Parts: sequence; C-alpha cells; structure tokens
Amino acid sequence: METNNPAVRPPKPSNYLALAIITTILCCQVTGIVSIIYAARVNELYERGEYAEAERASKNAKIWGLVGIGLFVVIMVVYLAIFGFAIFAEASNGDFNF
Amino acid sequence: MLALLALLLFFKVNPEGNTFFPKCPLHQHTGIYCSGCGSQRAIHDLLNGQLTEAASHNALLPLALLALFQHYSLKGMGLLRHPKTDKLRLWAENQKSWLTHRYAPLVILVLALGFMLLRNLPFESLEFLRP
Repeated sequence: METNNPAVRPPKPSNYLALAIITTILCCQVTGIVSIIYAARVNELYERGEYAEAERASKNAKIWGLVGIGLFVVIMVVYLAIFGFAIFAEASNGDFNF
Repeated sequence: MLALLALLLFFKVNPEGNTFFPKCPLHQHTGIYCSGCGSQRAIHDLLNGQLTEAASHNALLPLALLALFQHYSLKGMGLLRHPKTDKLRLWAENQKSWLTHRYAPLVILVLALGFMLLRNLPFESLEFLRP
C-alpha cells in the first residue's frame, strides 16, 4: 500500500533531467520539453507520496529523453549520408579554414 | 572518438557562413527561433573562449552546459573507488547537484519556453536574445 509515512519512503526514482537537457540542446526541442515535463511530474508525484505514479513518470521521462537522442543519431546519419560527399569534397578543395 | 572529432570540428570551423552544418529545420520552414537556435555557433564560441559571443548566439546554452558539467562532475567523483580519492568522493557525495533540486525541472521548463517566446516577440529591444 502507498503511504505518506516518510519512514517507509522508497528511494526517489530518477527524473532524467540531465538527459532531457542534453536532448533539448542536441536537436529535439519537442521531445526534450516533454521529457522535462515528465521530470517535473516525477518530483511532484514523489513529494505527494504517489510513488507508483512517480515511477511511471520517471519511465516516460527516460523514454522521451532517449527518443530525442535516437532522433539526433538518425538525423546525423541521414545528414551525413546525403551531405557527406559534399563535405569531403569541400574539405579536399581546401575550403575549410583549418 | 566521434565526440572528440565533432568537438575539433566545432573548435576549428565557424558554423557561421559554413554551408555544411545542419540547419534547424524548424527555423528554415517556419522562421521561428526555438530555444536551441544558435547553439552550434555558441559551442564554437565557447570552445574558442569567447563567452560573451556564445551568450549572444544562445544565452541559455552556457548555463545549460554549466549545469550539466556540475551534475556529471559530481557524479563522476562519486564513482571514484581508490582510497586516495576517498576525501574527494565523500565531498562530492555531500554536494547536491542543482538538477536534483525539487523545482529544477520547472525552472528549466520556464526558462526554455520563456526564452523561446521572448526570442520570437517582434520587439527590437529583444534583438539581443536572437541567435
């Protein structure tokens, strides 16, 4: 049974806030924001003593954060596949100001 | 390895005026600046030690990186398992990462969304927030 008695509080589930921030910066503002919202829910639910709900919010925060990272990887792969040759051509022309 | 290469690329090449850096699709299609706009330029500036330049391209990015740095360095120190580093580990374990604060997610949410809103308001005085 869930209880508000602090003596039997389970450990607080991670809210994956760092992951959410990385996702937001890397590419995926939308999934990052969703992940941050779930992170806020984790804290809120845990403080209210709804531990099972907090656990679920934690899972969602993680999923949305990882979706963002996954999207970033996919976008990078597609981008490199399309523009990779152009980049190398530019590099071999010496257009990079190295 | 890839991350190091990417850092080197961002250090050497200024995304400004280079065509091959990926552009934000949202901005290209709608003209809206999200709160991540300008972060590639800002990373380039930071790697070259130009903090004010970085902040002018994306004011939130240095803050976000600072928070992430604090979070992960505390975490990293907490993983140390050598007796010689015990003092450092114990110190790190007693420090609180800003990101674990109860209202951290809310503050970050408000910052990110507020920043995005302000960058897109059509007032000239807000020009300094745009990338």
